[in-house]
Amino acid sequence: MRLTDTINSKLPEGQPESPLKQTLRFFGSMQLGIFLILLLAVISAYATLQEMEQAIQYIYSSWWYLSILSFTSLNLLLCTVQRIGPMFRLAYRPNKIASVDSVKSMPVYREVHCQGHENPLDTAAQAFKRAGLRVTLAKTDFGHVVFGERGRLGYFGSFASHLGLLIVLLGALYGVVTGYDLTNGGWIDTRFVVQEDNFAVHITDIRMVQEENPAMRPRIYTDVTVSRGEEVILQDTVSINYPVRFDGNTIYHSTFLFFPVFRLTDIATGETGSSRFMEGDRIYLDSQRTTYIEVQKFYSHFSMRPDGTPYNVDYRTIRPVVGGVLMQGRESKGNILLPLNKSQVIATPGGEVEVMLTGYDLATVFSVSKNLGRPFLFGGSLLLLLGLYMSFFITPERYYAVSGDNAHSIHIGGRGYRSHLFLASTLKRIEADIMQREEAK
Amino acid sequence: MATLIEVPPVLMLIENILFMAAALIYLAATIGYIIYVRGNQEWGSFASLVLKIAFGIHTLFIVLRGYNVDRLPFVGHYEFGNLFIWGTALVYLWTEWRLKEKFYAVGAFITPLMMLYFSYLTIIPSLIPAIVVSRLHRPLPPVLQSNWLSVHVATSVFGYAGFTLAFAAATIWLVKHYVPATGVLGRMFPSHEALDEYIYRSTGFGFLFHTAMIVSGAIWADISWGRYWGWDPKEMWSLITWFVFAVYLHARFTRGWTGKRAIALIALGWVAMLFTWVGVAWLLPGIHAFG
Repeated sequence: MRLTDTINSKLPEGQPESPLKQTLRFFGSMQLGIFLILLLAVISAYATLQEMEQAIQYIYSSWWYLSILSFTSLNLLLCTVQRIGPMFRLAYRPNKIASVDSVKSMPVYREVHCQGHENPLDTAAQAFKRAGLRVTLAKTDFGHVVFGERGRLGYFGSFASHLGLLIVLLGALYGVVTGYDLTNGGWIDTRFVVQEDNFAVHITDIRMVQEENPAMRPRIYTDVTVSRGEEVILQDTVSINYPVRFDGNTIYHSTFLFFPVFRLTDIATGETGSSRFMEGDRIYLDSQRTTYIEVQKFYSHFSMRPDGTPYNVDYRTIRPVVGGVLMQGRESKGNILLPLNKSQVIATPGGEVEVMLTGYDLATVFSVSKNLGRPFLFGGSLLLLLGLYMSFFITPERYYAVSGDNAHSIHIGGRGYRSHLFLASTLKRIEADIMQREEAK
Repeated sequence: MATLIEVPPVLMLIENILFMAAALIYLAATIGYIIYVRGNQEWGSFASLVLKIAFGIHTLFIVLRGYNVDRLPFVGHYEFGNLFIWGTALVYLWTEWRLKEKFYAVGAFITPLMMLYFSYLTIIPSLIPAIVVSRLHRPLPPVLQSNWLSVHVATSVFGYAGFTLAFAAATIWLVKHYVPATGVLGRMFPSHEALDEYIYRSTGFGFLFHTAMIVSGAIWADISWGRYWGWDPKEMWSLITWFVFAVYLHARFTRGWTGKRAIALIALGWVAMLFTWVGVAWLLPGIHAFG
């Protein structure tokens, strides 16, 4: 037996439902769905009040949050499955039989008096067609019924949107299970290996292009060569909003930074060496590692406010300066500014050391990821939107016309699915059309 | 780092005049609609005409703002706020045009909401110093230089507009519930059934565009930041708003929820929407800080 049949099948009265059916009905119930969505809303609202990293680690990634999401997905799946049968029946097997009393009890109703010689139902059928309805004539125990409908696609809106959402959730899950997400990068002529999918990225060039207004964050273009073993997979340029994609992997431009290069010279011995540092690094000045400069910020276009606070004028590399703090043990010896190519001699317990900023390297930071769920995510999203459009913009409407007790009157009624907003105006139009046809005779 | 676009003073002046004129004529339309619901039938179409004039002037303002900043004026609280008010007026005027029965009473409730949004751009920042709504003309940072910006913001505007319309109709529903049916307000307001339909259709409209906003944002984030969902407070509150309206739509359709319970959900959704727009920006900073 299929799942839909299991859920939707009807039992003889008095016979209890099987435990399986009861369980499926519970997990697919709308009440549970509404409760789970409200629960997700409340927890998510609480989570946004926490630090974002904390919320991601302890709430959004927690087993219980993911469990609620999983239950919501299960609820959505069962809800969607439950709807298939009834929805098709509703759309393709409409009840075309109506008596005068049932027509009178419909959300919109009109009695139209006809004077002509033709069968008034034929006139009604023509008016229905004129109103854009698909018309059929049914013969019933009560006589003939003209049945007209439109907007059949609207019945499938809810199914399509739920299915789309389900595909989105499953796509996200598939992406998490099969993919990875990491941050890496470097400066010109460096390479890094992505072990998760066994390929290497070689940065061959980085170009900074200033915006017309140099105070705007510049664009960074990074030329990369991606290879697997000896084989070159691709050579391309990564820039903001223009990632490089291959085999389900994507390399995005995340940000850029400067790596200042310092030369240290021991005044006593003349021994010298150069190294790159980044913000937050320590430049140790003696072998005991007690005296060091804590690198705080690289200013590409350095200036200072009247109160002595350093700041970047814009993104141009006109006056590069590194700002840091000179430390001895745990004690701060004051702030230090190191302009390009201007040496400073610093006394340490091991002797004097000359420190000089000799240059800087522009580095790109990439976000590298693989998400095989992406096509499902976007396909599901499109289906979700299509479903919502069908739900809210295509309104199924059904109209019935039956003969009255005397041959010169017809009763017309209409009902909608979800909405009755336009029923009255359509019925008014149909009535006007019938009257016009009658007058023309 | 200060980044500003040089705008000729005359264009700056015209821009400010158009903004003030639009705000004042919207206020006049608000007064007109209020006079209408106090039993003066003839004021309905007049207030509607005034609203259309305000909308036209506001359109001119948005066009000129776009010309002055040399891009679509979609960024920051000032530009988005204006676009949101403009979108709300457009959606309401569209319903007036589309529906045979003119629900002018809805105008008496939606225009005050638009004035509330205007106050966020004008009066509130001067009362609460922590809130800064900048009118400065700034260029677009590279991360926002994407066609997805227009899709994301436009869908967001219509989503918010739909929800505002639903909230306005929900407020009428509630007021009608408490005023005598034979009184002036009781007679001027649409029936509860019509209002219920109005709320449902407006929510459906808003929900479609709000979903499109979330989807387009996810696609754009995937292109720009390398992930489609970052658990950022703005993203989360958009989702929370979506959750609340999703509950309303399901509760109405499957459980037959209308009346006070449905109105409570609409009000909760509108508060969540407002918090997504305003509250998150000032209380929960994240990567959506472009204001």
